[in-house]
Amino acid sequence: MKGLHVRLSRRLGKLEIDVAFSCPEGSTLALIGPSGAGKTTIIRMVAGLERPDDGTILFNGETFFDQPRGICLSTRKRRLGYVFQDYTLFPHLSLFGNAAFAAKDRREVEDLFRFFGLNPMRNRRPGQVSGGERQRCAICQAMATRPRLLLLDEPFSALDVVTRRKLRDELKKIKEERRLSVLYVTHDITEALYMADVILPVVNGKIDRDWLESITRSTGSRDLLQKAVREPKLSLAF
Amino acid sequence: MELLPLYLSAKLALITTLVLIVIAAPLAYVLACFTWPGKTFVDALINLPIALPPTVIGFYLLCLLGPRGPFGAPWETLFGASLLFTFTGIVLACATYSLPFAIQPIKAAFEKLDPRLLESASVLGLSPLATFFRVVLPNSKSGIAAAAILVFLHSLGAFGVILMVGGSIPGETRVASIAIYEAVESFQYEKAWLLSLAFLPVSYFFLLIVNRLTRREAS
Repeated sequence: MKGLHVRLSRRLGKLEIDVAFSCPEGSTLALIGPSGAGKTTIIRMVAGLERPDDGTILFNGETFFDQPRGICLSTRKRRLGYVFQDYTLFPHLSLFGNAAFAAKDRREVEDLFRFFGLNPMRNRRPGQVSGGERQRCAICQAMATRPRLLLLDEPFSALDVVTRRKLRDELKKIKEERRLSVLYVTHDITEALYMADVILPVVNGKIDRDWLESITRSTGSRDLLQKAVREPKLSLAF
Repeated sequence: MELLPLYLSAKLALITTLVLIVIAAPLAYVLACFTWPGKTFVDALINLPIALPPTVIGFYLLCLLGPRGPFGAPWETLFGASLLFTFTGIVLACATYSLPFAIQPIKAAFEKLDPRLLESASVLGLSPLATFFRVVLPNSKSGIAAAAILVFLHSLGAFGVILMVGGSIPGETRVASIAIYEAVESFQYEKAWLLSLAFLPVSYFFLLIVNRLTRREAS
């Protein structure tokens, strides 16, 4: 069974997460929703950084998690790429050292550095470069492990509009080149529409189509809503 | 001035420090970064030397390392010599006595690490052992250095434990703290003064470094 298939539930205080969705192989699925809706927790559970109370997570036929069968694959065995919200890099290493940290092939890191324009600052530490450069490096680090599935948690939230647009295009291009499956968390609906093949609106831990429709109407924006309908690759995941 | 006790003290402190850092760093990692049953009890057990009087620790060690003790007996069978009243014996005693002083600063440094660094390492496919060497240790250098200095100073001044396990054999177990005590007992105050004076600048200098490291860690 190709692609990502998720059905999971978890109670976190007052928030009860209960979602089920699928993402076809090579597609980008965007989880959108307001802050505190449980989006980050969902991708952390897919990554194995948090354990669901119940459910199953399958990727390309491999079981990541299956509560009834007592299977819970450790994060490192899931072989995925993860770009954290605040782009966690190792402070004791240079940008290149970070990107090559778990790389399969250093030449690939060289190619990624050229692609993302990071060569001029390759020997600088993360604390010595801008947010955009750190972000690019975090993406290089994740890509250099040749992941089967890439998880991105609000990867552009701290960037200015110009850098955000540029990075978004770069990421989309490289994702298409490698036919990667991507799970993408954002609260920016325009970004989700631009990046995603499938959109999953999450509110209070549940999938909520009404929220997506109301938010597209209140922002605008018939244009936005129409784009959602017209976008040939776009579908709503339920 | 008699230099042999000072040399023995420095040698004891240095070897104890090296031994303890190698033991304490992985122990602190297991205590700081993982959850497992019985962790609280092990943590308290490791810290016991802080709460117990040195003579009590010395007495227990005397029983453990003695020729009929659970550790001393097999040692004697293997190496044909007793651990008591030897330099190796006082290194073991001093390491036990100073273990919490090594564990605590290293554990604190590990606990201060951004947990996302560990998560990132596991996402990148690193095993817990590789994470320890490639992520945890390089980002905790100040904490480890502070622990090393504290252990060095603590071992330099150890008295009760060493007296119980090692006695006072010149050139073997008669370290400076014991030599000072004996000098005072035999009214050789000039000798006691000179040996004590040697401790003062060393301890002060190393404490300055610890303060500096602690400040750096905090910032």
